[in-house]
Amino acid sequence: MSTLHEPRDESHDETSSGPATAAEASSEESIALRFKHALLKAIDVTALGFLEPVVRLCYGEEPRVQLRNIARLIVLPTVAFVLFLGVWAVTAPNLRTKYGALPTPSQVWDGWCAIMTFHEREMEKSEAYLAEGPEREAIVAEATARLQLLERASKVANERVATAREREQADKEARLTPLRAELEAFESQLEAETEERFAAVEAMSTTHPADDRAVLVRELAKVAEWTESQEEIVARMKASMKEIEDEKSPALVAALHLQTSVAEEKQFTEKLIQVAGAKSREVKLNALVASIREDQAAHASADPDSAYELAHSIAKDRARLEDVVESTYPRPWTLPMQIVRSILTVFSGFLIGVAIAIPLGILCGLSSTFMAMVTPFIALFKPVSPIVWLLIFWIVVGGVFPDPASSQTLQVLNYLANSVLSVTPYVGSIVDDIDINPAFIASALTVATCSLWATMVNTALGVASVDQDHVNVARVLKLSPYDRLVKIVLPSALPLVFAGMRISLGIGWMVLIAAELLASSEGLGKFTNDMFQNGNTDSFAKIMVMVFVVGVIGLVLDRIMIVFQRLVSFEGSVATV
Amino acid sequence: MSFLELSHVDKGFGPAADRYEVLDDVNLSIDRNEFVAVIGFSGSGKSTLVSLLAGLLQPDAGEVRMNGEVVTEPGPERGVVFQNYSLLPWLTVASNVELAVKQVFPEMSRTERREHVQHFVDLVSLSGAEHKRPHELSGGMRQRVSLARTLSMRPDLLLLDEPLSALDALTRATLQDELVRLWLEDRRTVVMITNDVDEAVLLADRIVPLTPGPNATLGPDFVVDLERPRDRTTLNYDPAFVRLRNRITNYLVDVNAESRQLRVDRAVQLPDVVPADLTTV
Repeated sequence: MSTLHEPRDESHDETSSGPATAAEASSEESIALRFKHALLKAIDVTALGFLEPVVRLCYGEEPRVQLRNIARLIVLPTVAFVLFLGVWAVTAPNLRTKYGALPTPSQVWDGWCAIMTFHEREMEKSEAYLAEGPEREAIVAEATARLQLLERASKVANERVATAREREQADKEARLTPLRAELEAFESQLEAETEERFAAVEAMSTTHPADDRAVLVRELAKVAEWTESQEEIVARMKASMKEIEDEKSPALVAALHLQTSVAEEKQFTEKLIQVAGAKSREVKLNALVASIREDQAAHASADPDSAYELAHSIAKDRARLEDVVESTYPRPWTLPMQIVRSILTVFSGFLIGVAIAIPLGILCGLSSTFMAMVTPFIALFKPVSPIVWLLIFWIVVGGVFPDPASSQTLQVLNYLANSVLSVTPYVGSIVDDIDINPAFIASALTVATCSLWATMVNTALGVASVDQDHVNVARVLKLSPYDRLVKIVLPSALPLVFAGMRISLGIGWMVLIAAELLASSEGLGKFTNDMFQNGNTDSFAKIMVMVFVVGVIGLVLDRIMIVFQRLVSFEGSVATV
Repeated sequence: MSFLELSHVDKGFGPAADRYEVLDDVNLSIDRNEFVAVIGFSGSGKSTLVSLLAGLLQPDAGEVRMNGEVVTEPGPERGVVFQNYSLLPWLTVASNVELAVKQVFPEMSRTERREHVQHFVDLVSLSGAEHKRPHELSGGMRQRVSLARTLSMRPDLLLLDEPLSALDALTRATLQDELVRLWLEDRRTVVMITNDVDEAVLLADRIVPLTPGPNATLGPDFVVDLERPRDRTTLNYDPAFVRLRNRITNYLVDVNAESRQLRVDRAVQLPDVVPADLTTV
């Protein structure tokens, strides 16, 4: 920050007459300079300090210093991240678990691509469902053409898998045959030798004096020990054979991968043809309209008996017509939709928390008596695990909305949320219905309860630590209690309040993922849990994708709060980064 | 009856068991439009005196009266310029002044208010810096803003609590001249706290020394009858000025020495014992 305020010359300041001289001196260079200052200020406010040397370098300011800073702030962190990826890529395949080896970075990337492909296909289908006229026909035609290609591709892929499998089988056979022979030979030899040994002991029993039985027992134990050791060798041989049998050649893996992706694409294309074709809204509508027309025509010239029947069927078709007009493709929740819902949940919870925390915090800061009354509650409730809160809210919210489907409150909330989201750029196109349900409310309340403490404590601290000089100013001016609060206390507490809100949002985001997982409220937490439950080959990779998705969103939320915090901060106030 | 009166004012801090008496039996009367400087060593209770005059503190005994009425609470009729400016850092220069104007003259229209604010910003030579925030200003400029804010309330009594003590010598001299100019333009009652004898002599009509604390009280008055306007460049060669300054300085040095002598010696008397030398036994 100090870089923004150039060291000032006191005497110069005393005589400067402000913008007037600056305006006079404005030339092209000063516009460039002003742009630079604006850029640096923006970087400062957004706390993107690592960009500062880049800007300064562009203006040719002390290139050596800037290059050193770039190396320190950009190059080295990048190197560290690349190193991390390298270590991860090397070590991951060696960490075998019940669910397979730890996914490598490239597998995680594939998982991300798979998640997004799924989303795009669902979007395509829901668009196809609503398409009309030539557009719809074009979709069908295009998809049919693609399907033909895919069928050919699928044949090729199947062949490839077959040949790869055959080749692998042959290869394995070639490696296994000698091993098998070896094993057989060993086993038969073992059998013979075992018999021999037992026979020897038996012979001993006849030649040996009857009173020394202990020798016999000893000999038999020796034989048993030997047999065990031989069996171990057999087991080892079998295990190495099994390993060869289980091996998957890279060629086969690639072929299988191709086969799956072609099959998926094919399945999707078939579905698309259906959705844009026979099952599309337009086709359904046309069929209904035709049926109504037919019935109406028949109705006009029908005898009284069948007239009732026809009228009944027309009325039924009309009702269905309305439903179909409003219908959309029943799209499953995909990751981008779940991201939107998680963010909406966290902000709902966060705002509820802030709405409780700030007034209470102000009261605590103003009155030490009130603070003393509230402190036990803070101390008691703050350390409680979000899981406990979630279960409590789950039960309470369930009690408030015994029949969520017909609850008017929920309908109003849904209507409000959906109207806001539908006009939000980008979000409007991915989310049709955010589905505010008791699980959503329970998750949001959990977020609120767990996150409000930081804001509350910080607000109390900010209000309590208002500069005595500023209080004196208020007293000399005889400000009313309300003015004193609004004009003196709150502005000076605001940086701390926002610092608290930033902590709260961070806590809320962490709590939310767990709450969603447990409440199975649609969102990132539920997505993660779904991945864990469905146990696909790439599920582990998709769970790891969530580390980055959750991390990146958390980081962006934090940045947003930093900007707010910086905007309300003033010189000398607590500006934590 | 004089405009401002302190009669038998006592003020102390701390619990009864461990009380620190700052001021003891302070008596002072100031006439309307008089410029009085209170001079004293640091820690002698100067700021406490200002707080009492402003009404920010209430005396333990005795009373502060302005216009014959006892001062019970602070108010805009007694404007204070605080030692550390006390500007609100989140407001611009103009808004800092406006906050005061809005509060003291609620009946003003928006344009009137804006003109009023601008007038006082111009008065302290801050034109052009209206939209800067305090942290963008130098110490001298901040003190000017503080002065503008206080003057804009048009107080009957102006209390200056070491207003220039945090500034460097050059800025300080500029602001001293400015203060004199403002006071000559618009005479009003001023009580200035300072620890600088030259400053006091340059600015004040009367100088009242505060004896070193604890139990500080006011010493004898020194009337400054130098001709106004006083020019700092020639003043140093004025024998009257030099004489007065020496008298005040000597007085202050004397009371300080006296207070040191008077101070109760709390050092613990140690017994005169020497460890026995065991090696010779």
